[in-house]
Amino acid sequence: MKSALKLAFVLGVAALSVSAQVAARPVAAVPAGPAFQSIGPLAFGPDGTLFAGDRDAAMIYAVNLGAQAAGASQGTADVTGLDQKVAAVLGTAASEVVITDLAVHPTSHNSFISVMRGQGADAKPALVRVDGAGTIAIVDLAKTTATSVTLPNPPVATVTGRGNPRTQTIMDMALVNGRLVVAGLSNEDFASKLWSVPYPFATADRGTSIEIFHGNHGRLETNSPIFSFVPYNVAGQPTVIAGYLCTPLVKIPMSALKPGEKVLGTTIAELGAGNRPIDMIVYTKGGQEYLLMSNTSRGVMKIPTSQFATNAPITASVGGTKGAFETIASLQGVEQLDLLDNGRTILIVRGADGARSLTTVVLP
Amino acid sequence: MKLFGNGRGGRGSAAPVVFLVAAALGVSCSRPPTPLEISLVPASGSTAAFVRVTGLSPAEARTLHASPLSDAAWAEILRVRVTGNDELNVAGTYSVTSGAVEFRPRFPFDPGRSYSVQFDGNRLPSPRQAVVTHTIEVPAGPVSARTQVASIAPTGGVWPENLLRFYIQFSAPMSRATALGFVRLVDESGAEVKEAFLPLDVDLWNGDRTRFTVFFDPGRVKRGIRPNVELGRALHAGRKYAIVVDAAWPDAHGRPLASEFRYAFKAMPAEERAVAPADWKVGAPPAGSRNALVVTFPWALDRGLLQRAIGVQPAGGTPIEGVIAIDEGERSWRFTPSASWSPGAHELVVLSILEDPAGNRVGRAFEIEMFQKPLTNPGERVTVPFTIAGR
Repeated sequence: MKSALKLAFVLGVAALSVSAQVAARPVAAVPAGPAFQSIGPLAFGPDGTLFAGDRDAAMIYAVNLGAQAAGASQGTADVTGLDQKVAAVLGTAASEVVITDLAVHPTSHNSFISVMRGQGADAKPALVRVDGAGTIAIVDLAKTTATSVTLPNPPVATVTGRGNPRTQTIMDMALVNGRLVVAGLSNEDFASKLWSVPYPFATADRGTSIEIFHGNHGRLETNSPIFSFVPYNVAGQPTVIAGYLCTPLVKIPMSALKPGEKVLGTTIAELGAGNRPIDMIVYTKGGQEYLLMSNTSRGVMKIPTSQFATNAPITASVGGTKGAFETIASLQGVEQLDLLDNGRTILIVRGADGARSLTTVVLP
Repeated sequence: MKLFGNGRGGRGSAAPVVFLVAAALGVSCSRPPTPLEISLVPASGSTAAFVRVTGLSPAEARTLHASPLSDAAWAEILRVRVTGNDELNVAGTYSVTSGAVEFRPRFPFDPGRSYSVQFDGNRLPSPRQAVVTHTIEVPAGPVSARTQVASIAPTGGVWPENLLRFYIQFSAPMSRATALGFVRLVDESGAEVKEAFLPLDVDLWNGDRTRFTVFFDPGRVKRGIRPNVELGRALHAGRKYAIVVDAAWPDAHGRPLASEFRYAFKAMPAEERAVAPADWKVGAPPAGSRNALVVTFPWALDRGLLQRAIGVQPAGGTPIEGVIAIDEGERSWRFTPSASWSPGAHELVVLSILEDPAGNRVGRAFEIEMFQKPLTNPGERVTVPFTIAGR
């Protein structure tokens, strides 16, 4: 059994039943920086801790960037030809670079971009920083420190000596009330599961896995996976606002995220078919709070958050969309999005020629 | 290697430059400095290939070693760029050894890619009026056979119209590119069935990138969900379809596939029952043999999950080691033990995550009634007893 388990290193966020305490591996401090096998989603904690997902190793690292949290100048300058320039610094061609996420440091406001350098099995992870002068620097991960947590093992009933082909793509994550909440999508089982683990990572509590359902059209419910989410207080109650495929917006109170419970979210808006959300941020403008959401095929949406507390739950079929939102026509080709500061958002935009740019935009 | 003197010419004008450099360095005129030379030191063991510049005098090396230079200052002296990029330097580390400067790239040089290297002696702490440039290239590896689609599962050519997922198996590792733009569902007339799949831009590769999972849009699969109401299911029982995989999907070497791949199948009525291991037929081999245990299912189960969600053990014991084979059509599962079967009570251990390709899992169909209480939960695993008879 041991040999099979050793081979089964591609792991799942939440493959046990709803009632199970997840048997995650022990967490560990990493004394000499994180040893990423791959690097994907990024999220900063308020103190500047960078949470970075490693899909291939099925781990999440909490990285203390130290002095590398800030380049020579504050903020982030626009960079045209971002993928070509990142590739040049990494010593390769743009076709060999895959940008996996973007996150803005909370105090330096430099942008951090996760990148896989190479396409094949020998692809290497890299973390890139862009500062206020537009200087592209590779973060020397050996000069950072990190703690980590390993995602729960996928269950295996067999002893065959074969590797486990199940993998878990981390779609989004956020630090919410002292817990890191992670949404994932497996390549074998299809369900909406959130994994919640306390931070700082500790061996005593390895987190819980929660299967989420949301009401949909009265008779049936769905547990389609969550693609993007953001923590938000709805009427003073800590809540996860989650974006699903085709594109219901669902609120799930954090207090409901308990293992063993059947967690049922409430659909509060329907934002259109043929689409999935990519990224979400919350911001304030003119005294009103908004959710800004980028999508695969429906552009960037500006959604007033005041309706989150008041919208009636959607339980009947909606022809088209329901809920107030505005599509920002000027924002096209947005692949990544984060809040740069109180007045601006930073985007990775793919142009008509396929080249990507890092672009600052005043919040709409 | 090319040697330029003060930007005024090539090898033909080296002599006066040598004189100037020698004078600047305070070296005897009768002994010209060693020419600077750039070379690529090949990879060795765990050490990746790196750039070495030789020809520095001991004094030059000492001065350089003692100079606290920033990376930017180093890059002014020794500049390494991807050929064709005239703006940005390759990131790496610099070091000084006796008589040489070395540059180790942060990431190994790509085999087959050329890099332009320039060493500017004018930028040394003790300037030498010489600029040397050289193009380096790590030899490309042997060319392997072109990658192709090996198979698509479910195999057997019949899919339920509420199919949730299928697997594309490749003959070799692929690039990190997802299936977006490379996989289509077409009907009998060859017309594409649009919006059939979950957005294909999500990384659903297995660990070595030889298998990609494609999900049908569950909103269209599931009755009553808005996309299903508005668009209907992508598949209709009784009709014929094909999955088409475009040859342009790049493999791990960036090459297109050997050819386009088409997998033809016929849609069958939806499968909406929960998986029930109690209904399986277990064909137990005799004790003392190493014949395969054959488990037959009433309908096809998911090929991926069948690899890990069923085990075999003596009743109440620990799992037996062996090899799993799954028959064409995923209707039967064979387990050949590493050691001969012992007589007595045995059991199949079935994890409740086991699903059919339509997402129906053990004890719970994919479509369940809203607010159903309690949620059917068969636990983590169920067992199916069987007996290995003695000879």
